Amino acid sequence: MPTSPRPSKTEAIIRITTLTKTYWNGAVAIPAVQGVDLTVRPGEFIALMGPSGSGKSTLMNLLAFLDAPSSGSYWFAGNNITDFSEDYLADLRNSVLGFVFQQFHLLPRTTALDNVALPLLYTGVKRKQARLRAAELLQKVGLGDRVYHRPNELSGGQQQRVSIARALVNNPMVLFCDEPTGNLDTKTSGDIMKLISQLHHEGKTIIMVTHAEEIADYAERRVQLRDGKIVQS
Amino acid sequence: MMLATHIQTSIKQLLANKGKAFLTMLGIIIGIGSVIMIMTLGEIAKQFLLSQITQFGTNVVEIGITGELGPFQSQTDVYFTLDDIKALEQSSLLTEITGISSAYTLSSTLEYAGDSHAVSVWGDTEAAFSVNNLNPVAGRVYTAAEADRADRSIVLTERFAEEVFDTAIKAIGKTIRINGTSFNVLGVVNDLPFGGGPIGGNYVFIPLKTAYAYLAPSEDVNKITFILVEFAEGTEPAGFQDRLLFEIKRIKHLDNDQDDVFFVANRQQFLDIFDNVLLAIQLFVAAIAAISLIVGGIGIMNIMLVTVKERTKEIGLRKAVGAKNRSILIQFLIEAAVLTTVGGIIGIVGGLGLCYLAVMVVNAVQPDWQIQFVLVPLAIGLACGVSMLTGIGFGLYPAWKASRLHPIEALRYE
Ligand SMILES: Nc1ncnc2c1ncn2[C@@H]1O[C@H](COP(=O)(O)OP(=O)(O)OP(=O)(O)O)[C@@H](O)[C@H]1O
Ligand SMILES: [Mg+2]
Repeated sequence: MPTSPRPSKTEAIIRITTLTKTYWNGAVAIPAVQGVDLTVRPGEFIALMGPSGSGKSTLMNLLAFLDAPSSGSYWFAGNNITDFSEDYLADLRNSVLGFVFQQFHLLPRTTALDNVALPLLYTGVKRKQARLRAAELLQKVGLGDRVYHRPNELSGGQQQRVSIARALVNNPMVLFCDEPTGNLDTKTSGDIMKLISQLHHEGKTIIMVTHAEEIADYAERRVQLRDGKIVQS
Repeated sequence: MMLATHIQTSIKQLLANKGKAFLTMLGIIIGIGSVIMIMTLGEIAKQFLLSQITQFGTNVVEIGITGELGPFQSQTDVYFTLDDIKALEQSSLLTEITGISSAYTLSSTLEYAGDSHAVSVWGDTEAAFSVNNLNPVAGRVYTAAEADRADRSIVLTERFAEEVFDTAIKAIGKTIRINGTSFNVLGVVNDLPFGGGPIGGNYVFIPLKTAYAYLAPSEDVNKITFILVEFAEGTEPAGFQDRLLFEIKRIKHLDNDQDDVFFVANRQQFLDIFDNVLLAIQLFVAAIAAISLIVGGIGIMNIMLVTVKERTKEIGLRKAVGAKNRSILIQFLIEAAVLTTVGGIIGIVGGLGLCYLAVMVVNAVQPDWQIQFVLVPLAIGLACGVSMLTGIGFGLYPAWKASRLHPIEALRYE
């Protein structure tokens, strides 16, 4: 596991400058992110907003080491990670980041417990310990009585809770959520957002993509994107 | 680190698609099954042959005159006589000789109580019994004195005696006729190995001189068809055989290069020939098994490619939460190996089951052969290893493809 120093409260946890991402559709360039500057401080809760196709997901994937930028630089906790190897980035994703996806992305035919424990297994934690930790997290997200349920035996909201527990299992520095309530009804969305803001109040740094105003209201800072550029921050 | 988890996932995956998995494994099952079968059956046959030959005695050299046994009768007028046998027994070059069976054989018909039976009459000295490991199961065998007197005594082999008289004991003291000559049944001995071999089972033994006196056509009198020379335990067979042939040529006044007059066989040679034949068969079946394994392997590769496609999202998720390329590669290699190993185990169990069945069938048909079923650990180990390696070999490409997936593209895959 890489040893990334945890930043002090004042130091930026994320700093990007003139970051770009261009997709190529044959010879046609699709500039999804066009020179974005952004600084995120520890404990911040940011809502990435903007119309469909404005580059929210692309930017979030870049911030979460899931995709490599075409140009620009990226400091994470003071480290320039732009030219880190794939394996090193995989370790970083595992140890300092957590992900919550719109489609939950839980492993089918696998219990909530093992789904939550999954990231720990890639760090070499023993399965028994990983399950203990996973059970603890499921308790925290209110699924203490659904530990051995499989995804197809859980409601959408419950599935999203499992995926939040999974995102938290490694005690990450930053939690990334891409439209975490996009597949949920209003009532369940509210419950999930309450859980996420509770994590914010506990001090977690959160970056959330959404295009719904009432969801963004839970965040303390909004970053507006349009055509791959930040128009308001 | 995640070996147990990976294996568990693989088995879960396998159980979720039992039918598909079984069809996929069929090539492996057949390939591994045939490997295990041919190796096990080969070993069983070898053990059986060995037990028969050891019972027969392996320290025996058999020498016949080519003209007597082959189609070249006119090529030679060389033959053995009892004087030649004595000369061999007294030779200072051949002190290891412990006995010589000197056979004159002919086919005839035996009559008893109005029934006729085809028999192979084996005229020989009393040494026939010790050299060929023939022991009385009832009555006794003839003595040197009786043989020398040309007594009309006869010794039957067990199965034949039971066929004619019901039991061996009942045969003792009965009078039977061969070619009009009456003989007194002196004893019954155990059967020759393989029930007497392909030339027919119904062997009866009479003294050599009796055969000449009552049954042999005049031109055959004093001729010995073949000899079986038994030598002492611990003698080096090849060297002994060379000296024996040298002495025979000297006694028969033959040139030293006239080897083709004789037909020489020692039983070790027989085993070696069997070994070679077995090896050839095994190589042939191994080639077929290899083809089957390749076909099976391609099936595995195909199913793994489908699996990787179907589980693209899972791979993306695993990578997002920290799986490195290597972890994904190992995961899918293990899945392929589990698939082929399970196939291999089914093949091993099935192959051994068929072998066992074959042994039971043969034993039911030939009860006196008493073939023993044996497990060949080497074959089982080899089969396990080969099936696992097939999975790893053919799983490599799909696993490599899986490991190279881009996390985001994999997560977005529909
Ligand atoms: N893999 C890709 N290949 C080519 N173009 C892509 C790819 N991914 C995204 N794009 C393009 O990049 C632009 C930004 O896409 P992105 O998914 O970041 O938008 P978004 O803001 O998340 O939209 P939404 O609100 O609909 O999720 C779009 O024009 C999209 O078509
Ligand atoms: Mg999006």
